[in-house]
Amino acid sequence: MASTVIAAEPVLAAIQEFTQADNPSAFLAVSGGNSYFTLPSRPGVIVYRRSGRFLVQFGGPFAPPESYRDLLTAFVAMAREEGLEVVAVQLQRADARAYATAGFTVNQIGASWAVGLADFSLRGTRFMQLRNKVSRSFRAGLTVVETTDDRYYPWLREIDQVWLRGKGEHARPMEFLIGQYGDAMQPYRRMFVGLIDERPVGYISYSPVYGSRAGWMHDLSRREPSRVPGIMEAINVTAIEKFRAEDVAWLHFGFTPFTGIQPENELPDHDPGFHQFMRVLWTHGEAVYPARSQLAYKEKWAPDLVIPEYVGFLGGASVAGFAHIFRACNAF
Amino acid sequence: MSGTHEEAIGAALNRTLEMFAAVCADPDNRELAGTADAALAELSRLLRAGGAEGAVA
Repeated sequence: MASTVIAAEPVLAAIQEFTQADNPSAFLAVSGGNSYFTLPSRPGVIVYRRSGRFLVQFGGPFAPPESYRDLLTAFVAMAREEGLEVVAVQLQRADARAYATAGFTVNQIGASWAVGLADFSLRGTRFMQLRNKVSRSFRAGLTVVETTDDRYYPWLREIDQVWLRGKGEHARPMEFLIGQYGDAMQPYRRMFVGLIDERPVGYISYSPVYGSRAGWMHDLSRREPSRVPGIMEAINVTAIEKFRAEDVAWLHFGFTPFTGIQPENELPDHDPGFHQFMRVLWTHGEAVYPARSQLAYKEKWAPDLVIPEYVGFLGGASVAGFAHIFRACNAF
Repeated sequence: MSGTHEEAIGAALNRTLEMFAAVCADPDNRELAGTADAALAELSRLLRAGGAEGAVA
């Protein structure tokens, strides 16, 4: 009998061991609030959340090749038995091919971005503006610490609240495809906090990335409104210096929907209407998700790698399925 | 692709966007979801008929 209730630690083991899809956001699998699907005596796990009549899956199965397809088949069967639909988001290229052969309609939904750290440098004209911003923040009294001290969390939660209020009265805190901090999985993350007069003014949480492009992912980040420019950039520069000293190979900036949508990234049987829908949301979809401003921040760091990510719909492409991804994220 | 076909694609794309907004406002409305998915299917049908994909948006 399939199981849908397991603790986060076996999921952590699965994302650490079964990395062939190289999902840079895989650590989101262990976030609180996720549901898990497993098969008895078969390695691997499927991560999902229920939204209305949809099961919204995060990534493909975190499983070895010998159980990957069985997990997916059983998960789909479970959904059908319960009269539910399945939509999978943040599928990597390898997942996308597998899902397409399993009867899903698969389209590119965005991309994730990464910087190789071995040769990374802020020298040169390209980074002049960034260097200036960082310098100004340090001259304004910013210091950056890496910390495991949970006494910072009340301050960071206050920054979160101020940030959220700044997004408007109807803004809701996003979940599921957004990182967390301060939970049981915190020992696996790294927290860098920016301080002015010893008071937190911003933070960046980095999540571990496993697989062939192992490193850290610039995950949840917030700052309070400030006249001091460059707080986030200064925090990230500090973290990069530390990572490079540790010979960390990659800094990932994670997934942004609607970015990097290119015809050459699509699989042969993708839905052409959904492709255009994603391109329009890139151009005009700020109210849906601020993809352009998010990408602008990531592009400051001159990413070396753009990784297409995909959505899979069981059956045909679905506007409703796409909407329920956002609903699963608590967007509405 | 003829101007009329291009206009039809534009209209279908706008319809898809409108239906996405409608579904977000009422996500458990199955009839609405069906209408939204039909709008997307029509957009895809028009695009396949026109043979073009890269230049619309």
